[in-house]
Amino acid sequence: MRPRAKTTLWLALQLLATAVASPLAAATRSATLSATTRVDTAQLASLVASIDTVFFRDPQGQFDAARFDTLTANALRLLLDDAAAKGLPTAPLINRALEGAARRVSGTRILSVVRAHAAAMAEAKSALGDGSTVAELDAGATALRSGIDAKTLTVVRSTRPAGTAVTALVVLTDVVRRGVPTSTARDAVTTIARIPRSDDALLGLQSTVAKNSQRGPGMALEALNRYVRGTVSGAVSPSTPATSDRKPVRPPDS
Amino acid sequence: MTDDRSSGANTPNDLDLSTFTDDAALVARVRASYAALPAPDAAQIARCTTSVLAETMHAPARRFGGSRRPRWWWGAAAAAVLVVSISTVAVRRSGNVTGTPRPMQPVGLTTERGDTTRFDLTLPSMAREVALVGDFNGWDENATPMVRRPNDGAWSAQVTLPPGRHVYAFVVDGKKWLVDPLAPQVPDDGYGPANAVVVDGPQ
Amino acid sequence: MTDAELVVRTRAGDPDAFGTLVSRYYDACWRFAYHMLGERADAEDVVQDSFLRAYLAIGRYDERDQFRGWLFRILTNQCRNALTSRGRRTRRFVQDEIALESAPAPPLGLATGVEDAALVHALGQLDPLQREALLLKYAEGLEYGEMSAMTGAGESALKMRVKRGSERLRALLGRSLD
Repeated sequence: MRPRAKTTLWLALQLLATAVASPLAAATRSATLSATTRVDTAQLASLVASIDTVFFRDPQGQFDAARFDTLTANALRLLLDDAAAKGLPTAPLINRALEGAARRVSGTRILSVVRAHAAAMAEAKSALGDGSTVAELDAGATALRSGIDAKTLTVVRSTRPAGTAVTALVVLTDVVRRGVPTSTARDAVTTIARIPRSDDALLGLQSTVAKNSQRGPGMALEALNRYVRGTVSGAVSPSTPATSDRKPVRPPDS
Repeated sequence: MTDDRSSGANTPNDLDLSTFTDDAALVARVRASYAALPAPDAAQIARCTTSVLAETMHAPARRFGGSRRPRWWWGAAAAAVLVVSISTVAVRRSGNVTGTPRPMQPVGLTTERGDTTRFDLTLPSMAREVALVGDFNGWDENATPMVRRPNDGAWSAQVTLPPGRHVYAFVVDGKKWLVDPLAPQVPDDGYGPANAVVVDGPQ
Repeated sequence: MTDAELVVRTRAGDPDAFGTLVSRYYDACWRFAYHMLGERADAEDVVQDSFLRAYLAIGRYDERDQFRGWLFRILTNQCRNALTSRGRRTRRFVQDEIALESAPAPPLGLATGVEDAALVHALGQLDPLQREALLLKYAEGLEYGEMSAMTGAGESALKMRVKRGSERLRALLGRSLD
């Protein structure tokens, strides 16, 4: 059964099962309504159970539903299923959901965050390419959600083969958040990322920008420029002429 | 400043200091670098002064041996300094100077050792408990409690993390979520900020 | 006003006197700290820590000592502490000369500054004690005797550090030294 059809059937059965399994509601309803509950509960239950087994065993979609209220858990399952159908990894979405639960955030907000992150991952997949790893899609989605455009992600991708762009994406997201304009940040990150084995250098860039951003306005950008200059020009001799002393030379008495 | 000059052929000998002379070009280059560095501006210097004075305001007994009773104009100066220091760009302090006041914001550090990653956190104020939460432990506050280091009161936890990106945060006293302000940030997307760490190794 | 007079006033509780001492020595402290640590923000932190410690210890300062030397002793200790407490996150980029030579030119828009970044980078690759000795000797212009009093190391050991540090620096900076 195709995932979408499976979901629709599951949802329909879930609704019926809920109607069937609420004796209090059944008891307080009018006679006309109660007629609809006269379904073969045994047959229904076994059908629901079999769908249950097929769906929830999907390894990608597993999560601890107990951490959410029933409605949220159910809606989450739909979102995860939808993402999987689009070829997106569900682990990052589960992580976001669990984070929301831990922060004791409302179910509505959790769902909206997960939905937005899923959409961002889809966009990240398009920008970073089909061969991108889960971590790259997750980091890419975070970058997009923070206001960085898809085209910038594509430029970053051009510097690193599939699976190796995570650090660059993390650093890019961070320095932009510290106030560096996106295009400047993109240039800086890609300049360094093109150098082989430069993940440490990228993290060094993040570190200096973060520290210096606290020293005052414009300091983050200054630090970024200084760092990139230093990283690239290290093997080249500087243009500073050697002077012999810090003290000013006294002019001869005239 | 030059050392003794030695004439004649020298057999290269690491221990033979008498043949060592200062390299004039190198000396010049170092001095030039000092000269070329832009001077710290007045604001930076003022920031230092006010920060030091503000921090020591909280520990008058430790200021210096001798008079413990502050002079009358200390009060006025202290008030002025506090006003300035509050309105100045927020001071970030590291908590690694023993005996000095706590930092004004959380200070974190992640260190990799073998296959474990250590998370250290120094807090601006006392806490009863701190938990490390992240996508590696289902954001479960009970999964990775941090331990208070006896020597400097910093909180610490070690986890084995597979190579790659991990998102995390700290929960203080079961309710307040904190991030390490200098570590890579995962911006607020509807929940609040978190941190990201990228662990080395083949992925 | 002399340093000694400023110290006396600081002890008496005069914040302006302390402020003057800071103004007088901040620049020198910061340049040293920057060449030791290679990072402006770290240098600013360390210099502030040093002035804080100096303030707290001002009661114990002996006026027969040079204030600058006393302050620098605190500063060098703080620089050492800062270097040993660095974790992975602040690990500096170790220059891979091959990688750098193959790196493309920086994009337009990133202005070149006057700072000798190559030297600071090269200094960063020295053993910290060698770096410290080299800076105290060449930049601060101290005699080995003064350096020994400040660091507690013997003069021969200090000379060796300067020698080895210089050789390493020369190797790292290569042809650019002329």
